[in-house]
Amino acid sequence: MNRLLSASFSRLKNHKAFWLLTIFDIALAAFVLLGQYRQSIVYDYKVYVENIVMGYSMFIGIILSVFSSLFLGAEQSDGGIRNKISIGHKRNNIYLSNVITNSLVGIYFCALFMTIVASVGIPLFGPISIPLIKLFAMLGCLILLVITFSAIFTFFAMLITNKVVNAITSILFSFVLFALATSWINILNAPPMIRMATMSGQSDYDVIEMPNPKYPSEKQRKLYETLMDISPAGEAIQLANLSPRDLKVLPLYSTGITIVLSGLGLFIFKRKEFK
Amino acid sequence: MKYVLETDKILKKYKDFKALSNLNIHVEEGAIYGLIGRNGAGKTTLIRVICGLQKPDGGTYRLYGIEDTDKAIIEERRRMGAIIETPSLYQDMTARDNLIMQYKLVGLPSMDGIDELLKLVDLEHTGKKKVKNFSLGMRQRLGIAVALANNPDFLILDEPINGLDPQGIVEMRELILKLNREKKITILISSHYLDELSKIATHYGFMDKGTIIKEISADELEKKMQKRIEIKVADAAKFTNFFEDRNITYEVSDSRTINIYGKFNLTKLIGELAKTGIEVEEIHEKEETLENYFINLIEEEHHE
Repeated sequence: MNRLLSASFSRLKNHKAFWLLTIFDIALAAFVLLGQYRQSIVYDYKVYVENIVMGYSMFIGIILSVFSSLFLGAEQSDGGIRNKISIGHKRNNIYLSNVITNSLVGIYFCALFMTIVASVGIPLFGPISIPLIKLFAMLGCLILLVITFSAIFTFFAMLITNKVVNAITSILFSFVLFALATSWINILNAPPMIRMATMSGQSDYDVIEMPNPKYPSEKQRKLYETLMDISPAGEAIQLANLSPRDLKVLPLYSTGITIVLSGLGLFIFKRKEFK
Repeated sequence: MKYVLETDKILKKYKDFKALSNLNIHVEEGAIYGLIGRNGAGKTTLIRVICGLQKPDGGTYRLYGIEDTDKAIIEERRRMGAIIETPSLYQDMTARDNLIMQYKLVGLPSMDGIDELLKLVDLEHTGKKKVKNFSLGMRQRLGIAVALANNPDFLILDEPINGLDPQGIVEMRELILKLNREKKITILISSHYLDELSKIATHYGFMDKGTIIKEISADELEKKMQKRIEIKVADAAKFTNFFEDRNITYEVSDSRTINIYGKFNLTKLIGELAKTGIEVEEIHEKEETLENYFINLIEEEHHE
């Protein structure tokens, strides 16, 4: 395993996608900080650094899908996996070393963004306003979430031989996850009452309040809340909004998905036939 | 006799198609074993199975005496280097970086030897050029360098001269011979370029429709391909004294066929044969090329 990881990190140093995404991370941090600063001046509102820091949760899934499809995709297309098997590396170790590499890269991207934002944002906007213990708990959840995303994209990269198909699947999957989670949160955030305008004469309108038909029932609410907790994208949105429903449950779902998906991936990978 | 690789009735199926069937191969230590077969014979499939990329559906194989079902075979794979169809090279890295990667994968503690490897395959001046900008010959040579990184004593080369220009072919041949003679590496090389293989192989395995139809050493093959006189008689056993008395090299290939080798006066020979009173039914002069030998072998196999 150590040899596989050492080789992966050696390759990382020379990999364009890694450095381009690093630059993207830095640029994103600068862009967000600048944008928030300008808005705070123009609209005269307080910017909270922790919002920007945890806001990165919304990006990491997509960033990892891009990185993984390029970095691990090359393992398939360039014959890296074939080589590793032929020279005597166990398939379990090959698979898990890729999950670990992906996870560490994801944590690196998070740390890079957050370090820049904290170093510039705290002097600019003021200190963190939420209890530090809550922030660290959310950061802990984010680390587990990064590992879950890594497990998902490693699953695709190890089992899809075609680099292009892998890239499309990974990136599309991350967008679909986020689109679904966004639709669920819109449902959960629907107000109980809505205002409707009705005509009372030829040119007069009455505004009346009525129950919102899209307001979820108790059962539906429970369902969507559970889906938001299970879905990695749902968890990312909760963390980005600094409103995780239950900080004890989220890590369990992340860990569960990571274990199940990695187990399934290992099972299939061990039996996969390579050309 | 020590075998680096032996297989015992290997079977490999893809749905209903048998890519390998009842395949037995024996690669001696120190040999350059030429695996010859047409396109689709199963050469690459066999190599994939031996390298652990695919599992056989029947039969077994042994690497250095260790069975494929034994977990210890993973250790034996570390004594191997292989190029399967195309070399496994990271396209966005240089030759040196690819070798560094391979060194790390095999757990070599230092990068000593990389310069020597690059020199061995004549790639020491490639500098920062990425593999994606290499010619086919350069990639093949780098593939061999990568395969040699862990100092293997068994090298598997799958069609290494495909697509190479004449100079590339010569360079590849010289490299293979050097590796075998100087570094004592056993080499299994698959190809359908018979003429090229005939210049380097010490042993041959002729393959068709997923099975080895004949294994033969280069020396034995050379004898078979020598110019010879083939004589068909009623009973070959009664002839042997005739040739022994005259110090003529002969071979009884079946109950009715004798092959005789060497230079002699054919007219005189026929005259003396007539005096023996034993009836000669047919007499032919034969000289075979490796291609003819291979084609005849396949035709005989089909007729059986």
